[in-house]
Amino acid sequence: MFAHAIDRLRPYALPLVVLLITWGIIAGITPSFRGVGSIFAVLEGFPLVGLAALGLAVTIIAGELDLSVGSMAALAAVVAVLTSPTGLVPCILIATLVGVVFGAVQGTLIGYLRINSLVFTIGTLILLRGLTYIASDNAPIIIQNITITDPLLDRYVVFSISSITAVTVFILAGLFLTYTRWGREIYAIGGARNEAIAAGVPRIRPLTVSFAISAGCASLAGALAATRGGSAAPQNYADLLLSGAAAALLGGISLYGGRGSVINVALGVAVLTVVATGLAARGSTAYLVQLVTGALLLTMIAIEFLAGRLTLRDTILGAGLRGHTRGPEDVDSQREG
Amino acid sequence: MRLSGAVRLPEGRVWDWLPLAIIIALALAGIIVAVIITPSFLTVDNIRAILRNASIVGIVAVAMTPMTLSGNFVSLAIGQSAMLAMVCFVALVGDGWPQPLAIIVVVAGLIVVGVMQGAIVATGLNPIIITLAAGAIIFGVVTEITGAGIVRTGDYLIGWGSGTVGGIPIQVLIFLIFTVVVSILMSRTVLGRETTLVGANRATARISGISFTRVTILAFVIFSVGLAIAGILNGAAFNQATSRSFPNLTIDAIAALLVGGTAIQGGHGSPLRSAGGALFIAVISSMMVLNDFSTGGRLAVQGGVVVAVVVLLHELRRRREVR
Amino acid sequence: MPEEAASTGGLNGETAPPLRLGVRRLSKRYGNVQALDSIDFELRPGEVMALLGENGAGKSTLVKIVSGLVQADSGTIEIDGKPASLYPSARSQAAGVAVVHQEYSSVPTLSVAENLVLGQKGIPPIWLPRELNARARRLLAGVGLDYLDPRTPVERLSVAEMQLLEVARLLVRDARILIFDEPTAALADREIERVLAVIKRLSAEGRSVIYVTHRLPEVFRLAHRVTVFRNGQSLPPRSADELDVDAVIAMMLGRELGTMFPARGSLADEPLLRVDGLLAEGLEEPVSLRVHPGEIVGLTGQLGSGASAVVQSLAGMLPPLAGRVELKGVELSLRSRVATLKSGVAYCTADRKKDGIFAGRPIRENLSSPWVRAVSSAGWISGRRERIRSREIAAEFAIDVKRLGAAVGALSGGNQQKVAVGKWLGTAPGVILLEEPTRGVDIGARAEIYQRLRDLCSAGVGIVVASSDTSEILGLSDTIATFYRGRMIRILPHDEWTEDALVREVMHQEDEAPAEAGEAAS
Repeated sequence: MFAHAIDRLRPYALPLVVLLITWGIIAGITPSFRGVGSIFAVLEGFPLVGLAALGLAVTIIAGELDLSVGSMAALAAVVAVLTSPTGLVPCILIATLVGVVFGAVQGTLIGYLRINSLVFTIGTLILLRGLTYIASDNAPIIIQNITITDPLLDRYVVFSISSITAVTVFILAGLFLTYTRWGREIYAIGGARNEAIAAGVPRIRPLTVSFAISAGCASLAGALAATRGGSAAPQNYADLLLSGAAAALLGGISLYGGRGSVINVALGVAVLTVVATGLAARGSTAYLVQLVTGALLLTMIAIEFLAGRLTLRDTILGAGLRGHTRGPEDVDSQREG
Repeated sequence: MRLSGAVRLPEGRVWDWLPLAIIIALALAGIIVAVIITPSFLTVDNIRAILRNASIVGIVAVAMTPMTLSGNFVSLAIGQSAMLAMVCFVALVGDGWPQPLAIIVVVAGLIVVGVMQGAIVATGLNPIIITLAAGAIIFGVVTEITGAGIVRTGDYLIGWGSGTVGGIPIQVLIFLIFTVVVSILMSRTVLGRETTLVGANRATARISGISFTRVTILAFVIFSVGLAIAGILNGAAFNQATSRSFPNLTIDAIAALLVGGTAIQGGHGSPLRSAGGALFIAVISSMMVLNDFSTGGRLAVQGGVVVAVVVLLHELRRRREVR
Repeated sequence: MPEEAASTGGLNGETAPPLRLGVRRLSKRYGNVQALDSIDFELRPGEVMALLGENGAGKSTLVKIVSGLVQADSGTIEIDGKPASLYPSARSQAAGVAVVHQEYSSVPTLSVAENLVLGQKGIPPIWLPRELNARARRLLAGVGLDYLDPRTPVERLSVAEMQLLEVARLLVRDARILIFDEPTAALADREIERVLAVIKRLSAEGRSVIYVTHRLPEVFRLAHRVTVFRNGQSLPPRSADELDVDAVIAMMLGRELGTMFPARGSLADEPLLRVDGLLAEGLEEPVSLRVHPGEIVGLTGQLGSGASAVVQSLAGMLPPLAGRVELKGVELSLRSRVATLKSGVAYCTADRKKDGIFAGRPIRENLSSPWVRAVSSAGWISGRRERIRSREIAAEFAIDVKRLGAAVGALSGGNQQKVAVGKWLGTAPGVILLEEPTRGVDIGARAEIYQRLRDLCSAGVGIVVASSDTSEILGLSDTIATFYRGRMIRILPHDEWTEDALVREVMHQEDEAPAEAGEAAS
């Protein structure tokens, strides 16, 4: 039993150590980043970057990648602002629903056509961005009745409404991914697609579900950010793909699919937020945060690579092998020993 | 050996030309529609504008084609890398460097940055993620160094960037030459052949003694040269640059490449097609500008076209492989 | 030994219950290859039926038809006395047929318990670990894996454990006809015992088993009856008690291929390739052999025998652990494929779709892929020289010269193989290594490939062929080496071999006598 518990904690060891170290360093050099305030600040990373990372992580676990999350978030932000006359909760729900429906359609098409999700989501990335501009009439828009968003500004010890929402979504997603058939099927097709299908896992449903989660999370992220800020601009969130992917991979989600959990994502988001808030508190600019994010991402990939976890699988992320549509003949494996 | 009649069709050739034919047909249809609904479309000025717009995107899409052909997908650091070239070129010239020297330094510098990414990708790591990270780093570094401000050539104005040769804009001329050079490189040289074969089947290529590492790194070199040219051309045209230059280049170049029909998994495609894709997108954009489409409308149509063409070509390819 | 079947199935024939599976006059044709020619096959309840035959005899075609992967052209299938339609595979599964494949359908990153419910029907949408694990423990006990923690990820299991897990998965579906396709090929001795014990237990429970194998000792320890396929035809089933190794081998032989093999030439004295003490992953003992100019050395053995490990190692694809190899008196570095290629080693793999051809590229580019540098100057390909040379090769191999622009993927298997072999001619190789050179290739293309290999020999090339097809090895080779489970057993000139002896050596070894029979049963 004990050995099993250790086993289960092992995937979190590295990101946890990284988190503690970065937290220690940042807290050491930044007086404002200590105590309850720092926990609040870290949790505030979850509504935007955290949700985007969660969605991306689900597609990565499924052996795919959803490049359209940034555009999706921007569209949802605009939708939330446009529907804000219906009230705070309804407008967020509407925006999220738009995302879920879009994601489900996107995932179904990717599964049905057996097309590389990178290609497909690059197309929808542009398409959604265009729709965002159309919906916002090419200009930033604001919520007319700004008082409806007041609850979002309240703070409850270490939480805000946004971060409570985001953390709730994390917990629900975690339960879904761990304890339901549909959730485990996502791991199955990401871990070994051909084997899973041979075992009877449907080819399309896990993709539909994972892309719906991905777009839904991105939409919720966009909607929360827009309602909190009271405005949305069509060009927003182009960097969300970078920070989302960085957080997911920093937390230890394997690029080769089928591995990692919500806890990994949460750890990654925490690391990224600690670094970003720390840099911001020391007067660094947004682009420096981007630089550091990129560097952290590269470092993490290098570590994963050097740790020898490189097992080539026939997912599209299988090290640039040519995509799952062609099947396993591409895998550079040895034949019989 | 008996060969059945049905197999005798030269599918290989039809397949090679079909996507290009579709693109040309679409572009022609677009032009015809454009001429009918927009009489000002076929003016010399407008055509020149279209070509000028297509050139920068086209150069980059053409330069990226070897990388995609070799099975390394696409780069997500296109805009940032071209921006790097543009900022460096403008800064060097503004600093009083002779232009030829500045050009050489910029091209060499971009190649170094590209080869660093290529070397990582060549170990088998995911190119999308690597270039995503590389783009963020490049952007962060350049913005930090320039202080998020504008870099100018100042007293050393570069004149040739917006010039023409025999009525043809200089960008268009270079686009044409670059496309021809890369096309010949891909179709006539050992390097080009190896690039395509590695993309077509990496395992077979390995057994045939073709090095994935070498092919990948050389593809990144070609790509970097294209990015440097794009940055220098824009630098020479505008005499100033910021770290926010080329905001849409990444998306536009990938769109051009995909619409051109180069398979993202590698093994099928040509620089010529990417050039065609860039022209096609420029025609559509021009048409929409002339018809007062908004930014959003143009992006939406561009995205829709990318999805449609990619799905169409994917289905054609799959039908053919399933047989 | 087969007392279970005697009690349940009625071996003596009086008042026999209906057959679990009865196949009558089944035929199947692939292109111009007649894979099954009106075969009969039967399986009683609770019986283990060994299905034997050489490669290409039709065993796998029957397995595919029974499991619903392909449809028969003609013939009838009955299950429990009622006519049954087993195509597509969903129907076959519903009828209670289950195949334990060599390639598994477990997901390595999921736990044992999860793999046991993955894709199963009637499982609740919420997976609670407690229920899942309890259920898994019951199933695992049925296949002798009761010691296994159901929470273990499958990637930590041994090959045999994965195989038994696969069996447990099938038992959930209440499979009554289990097909094992060479289940022991990749297993070590101890693991084989466990798999055999489980199969015995399954048959004792009344399930019927079709056991496809190339290893005769297992047949005598396990099977109640034996069916032999030969050239796409079936022989009547025989009780395993009545048979011995000699009798089974005699039944399997008799494939007429004699005329398709070209005449042999004379050999030079000085060896071209010297292999001394070569050891690589997949080999238990060092291997030494000599290849003379003009000689074809055939290495034969079943999957996992080590024959292909030798070839892959010589090709530079499998790093050697020990040994020295000399080509034309110069030491050959086996470090990388590029190194061996430069020294003139051509290598044609067993799985052409995976790593033998570029399916989407034209024939010409495929043919020129290993030697395109030779028709180039300063990196520029001479289109004219490339065309001329690929036309020459195409003409020699009877590939339609006018179609060199067509994609190789559009060709028949035989023509694809001709491209996969032919492309190496342009490199002027000193040694050609081939694995399974005619797998999935029709008779006509086979004969052409054999003839071309002989032509190359007369030009002084040395050839090493690894093949599990013993008649091919016997007909083609000058010298033949047999391999069994990682060891080279014997190497002799071809005229000192008979097909009988060859088959015996690759399927069976003396120290594995059938005497130890029943002890594995538990």
